[in-house]
Amino acid sequence: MSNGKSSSTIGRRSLLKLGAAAGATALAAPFYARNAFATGGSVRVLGVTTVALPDWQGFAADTGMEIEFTPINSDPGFYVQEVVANEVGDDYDVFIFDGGIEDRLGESGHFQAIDGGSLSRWAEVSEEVKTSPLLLGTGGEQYGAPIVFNADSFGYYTDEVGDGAEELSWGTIFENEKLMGKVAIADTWLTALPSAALYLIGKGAKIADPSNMTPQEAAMVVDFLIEQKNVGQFRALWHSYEESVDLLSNQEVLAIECWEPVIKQLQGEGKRVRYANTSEGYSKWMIGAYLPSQAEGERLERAYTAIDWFLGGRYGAEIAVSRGYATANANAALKFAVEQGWSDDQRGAIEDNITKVERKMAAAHYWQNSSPDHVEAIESEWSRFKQA
Amino acid sequence: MFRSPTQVNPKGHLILLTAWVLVGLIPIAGLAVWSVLSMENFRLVWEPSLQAYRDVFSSGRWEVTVRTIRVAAIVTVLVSIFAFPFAYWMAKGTRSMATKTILLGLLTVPFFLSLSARTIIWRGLLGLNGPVNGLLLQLGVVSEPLDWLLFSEFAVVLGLIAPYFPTMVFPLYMAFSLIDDEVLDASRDLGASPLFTIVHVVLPLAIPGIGAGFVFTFIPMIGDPVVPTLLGGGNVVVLAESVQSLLRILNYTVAAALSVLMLILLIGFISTAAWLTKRFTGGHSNAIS
Repeated sequence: MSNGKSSSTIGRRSLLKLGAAAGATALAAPFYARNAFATGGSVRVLGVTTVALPDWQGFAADTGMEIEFTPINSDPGFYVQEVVANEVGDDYDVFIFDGGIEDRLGESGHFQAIDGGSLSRWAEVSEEVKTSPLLLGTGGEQYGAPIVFNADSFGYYTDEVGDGAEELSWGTIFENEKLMGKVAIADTWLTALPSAALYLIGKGAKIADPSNMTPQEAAMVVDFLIEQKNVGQFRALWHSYEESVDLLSNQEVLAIECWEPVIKQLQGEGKRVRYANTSEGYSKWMIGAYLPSQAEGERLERAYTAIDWFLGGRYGAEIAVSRGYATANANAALKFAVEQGWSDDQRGAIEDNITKVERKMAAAHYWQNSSPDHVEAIESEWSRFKQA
Repeated sequence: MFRSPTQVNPKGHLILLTAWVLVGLIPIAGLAVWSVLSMENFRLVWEPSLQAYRDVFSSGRWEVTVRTIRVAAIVTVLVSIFAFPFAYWMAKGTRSMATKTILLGLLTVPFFLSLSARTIIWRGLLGLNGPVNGLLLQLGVVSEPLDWLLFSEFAVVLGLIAPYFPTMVFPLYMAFSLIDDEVLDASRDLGASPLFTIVHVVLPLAIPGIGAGFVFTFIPMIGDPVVPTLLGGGNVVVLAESVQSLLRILNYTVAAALSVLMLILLIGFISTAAWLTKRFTGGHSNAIS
């Protein structure tokens, strides 16, 4: 009896083991299938959602590595908190953050400088893009590699504002009797304040750097914005992509400071809207890849391989088509699209980007700065505008 | 087996006190300490300063606090006006258990849908080109679409009524249900009008439920950014939004100062309410006895 009992126990245990093994195999099978190309391990990326692709199969196919992409929101405070307080550099090989943050995190030793020589495609990136202040530290060190960038302005209905043949002033948004109460701006000091500053500079105001204003300059811009708010210039402030689409689409507003994909989407729906070419300049932004100081040895190699891939044709082509954003190496993107036999429309999106970069990125002002020197004062001024 | 509170093992008091210090007092004390420091370049400056409190006032955040309380108070009063008869009817007006169950069930339905999804519908309705303005124009009530229907305090108040209706109804319903029918019958038999019965019998007996309803409705609304963000369109800034904006740049000290001020206001508010309630019920129970 005891034998039988023990054997039955063993039997049950073996069964459990067998079951567990079978389960593990079942789970592992698709994993191995998925990793058919991925022989070189994986690279862990903490990055803003803006740069994410719907799927990363191309990454594995090209580099032989898996990418573990952790998406985060674009909040400078969040970067500082994660990198400094939570030391996530231990866990991630590459950070992809809004440019500007390297002034702080590079200087504090949390980022290591990028060695262009370790990137096969570095030479193909134009000097103008590489030397954006959003990638360089305060002493000119190259902390960031450009991933995606764009020059933002505002969208408008052509019937109400103009056909877009000539450049429009930011005054369309900030000071315009014809559009009074028919305008929306983004609810963030990051773009609304410097863009208003651009307009004021155009009118003769003295502001040294719209994206790194002194508290006095920020106060001056906010005084102007409050004046405009009180006469009813702004219908609303938007907080999300969907909201901005909605506001323009319903004609709740006729012009709106917004992101370019908003206009792409509405044009796709047949609305007569355009994204403005401005006379004063653009809100240029750049998202960069940064290397945590903790990455070294094999980890660092993998990080460089990953960054190199982002500078390549496939990523540039895919992000240009899905979002309309520019990348550092647009010619490689076009070449990739041609080789892959992509449609005329898709190739057109990439070609548009090349023209756009030439036209807009060369404008003098300004590079969005997610962490200006006087960020507390600037945020406080923005709060004063919102309360007014 | 029953022991009066005074006979409870003093160790119990000690545990309770320790727990309260740990989860209640220490965080609040921490908040108070943070509020008298300042931030520079995302870093904390360890020097006592009232800068954070000055910032609260110079950046308009004090007005934001006052507005938040005003909006929450207006909505709480409006909601209670609607909830009172509804809850009373549910508790005493209908005898059908099925009706009660269905109504209570229906009141919980909104909790299964995201608040943003429910709120966003108002934007379509109240917009310049929405059906409400369309109807008003058609009827000739207005000659131009009303712009204050949306992105205004009116829109925020309107949008907050429905989400906070159930939180007021539930405690009121409980309180009314607990009132013995015989007490109401007695009041009627003694010749009291329905209004007299409600004011002098139902209200005093339901005070704990009314208090709970106010707390469950008013307090969460103060911390809720969803409706004001979606329907205020940046024109009706409330506290939660203001604090989020601070935390995005790690400005903990101003956020802490704002929280300390809010805490003081709330303590003042709740003590006043408690004192009034005590006076109100105290007076009536004397009158009844």
